Amino acid sequence: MEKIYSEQANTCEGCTVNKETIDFLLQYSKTLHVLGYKGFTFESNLN
Amino acid sequence: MELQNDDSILVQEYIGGNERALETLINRHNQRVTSFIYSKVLDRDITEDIFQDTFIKVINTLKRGNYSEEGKFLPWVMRIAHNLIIDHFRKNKRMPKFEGSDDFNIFSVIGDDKPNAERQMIKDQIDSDLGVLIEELPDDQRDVLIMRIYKDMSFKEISEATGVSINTALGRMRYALINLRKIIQKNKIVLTNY
Repeated sequence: MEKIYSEQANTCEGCTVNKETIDFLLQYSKTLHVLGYKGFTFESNLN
Repeated sequence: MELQNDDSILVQEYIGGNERALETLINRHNQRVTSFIYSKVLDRDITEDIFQDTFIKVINTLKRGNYSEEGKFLPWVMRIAHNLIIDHFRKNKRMPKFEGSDDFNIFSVIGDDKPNAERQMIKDQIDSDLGVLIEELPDDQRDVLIMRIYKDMSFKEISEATGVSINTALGRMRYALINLRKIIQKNKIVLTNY
């Protein structure tokens, strides 16, 4: 798998996603709760 | 190698509940992942979407405890992004999108077959008027016409239903149409949709 992606990739300068996207991901992660109980997994997004 | 170790540590910290670790991971690999996606899709908005979907999968997998730490965090993320890019192209292939330009609009070539509201009203009025006219026909001619046009019956079926020969049914249909035209002309009725 590692051979597919070179270490010296053709990265474009300043090619990053918006801050809003990152903020959303971080918020999503904070709200996501995974609870395992008796073999079952419950996922919820808590505001 | 050192970076991989750092990633492993951050992943473990994140799984342990440290949300800041995720932020560090995302920021660390933001440009790398974004560049990779953009190099394939060549669209900023789609790049944002796929980047977001990629890390949502990463977050879900880590939080569910399904991640197996082998010191290959970045290749794993890139593989997820790669698969999502493939899904994107497959979806677009099934549903190709065409965007018109100032010079050419595809809707000048293809159109919607359905009549607009005005034409639909006119059509409904004509259908209603025609129904009234058909009632003016003699019973046997009217029956044959209704069975043929509205019930889409074959002349064989009509002859069996009415108890006459096929030729008789054909004749009644012919006279029905002739008489219908006469009624329309006599009363100077206009039945046009265009």
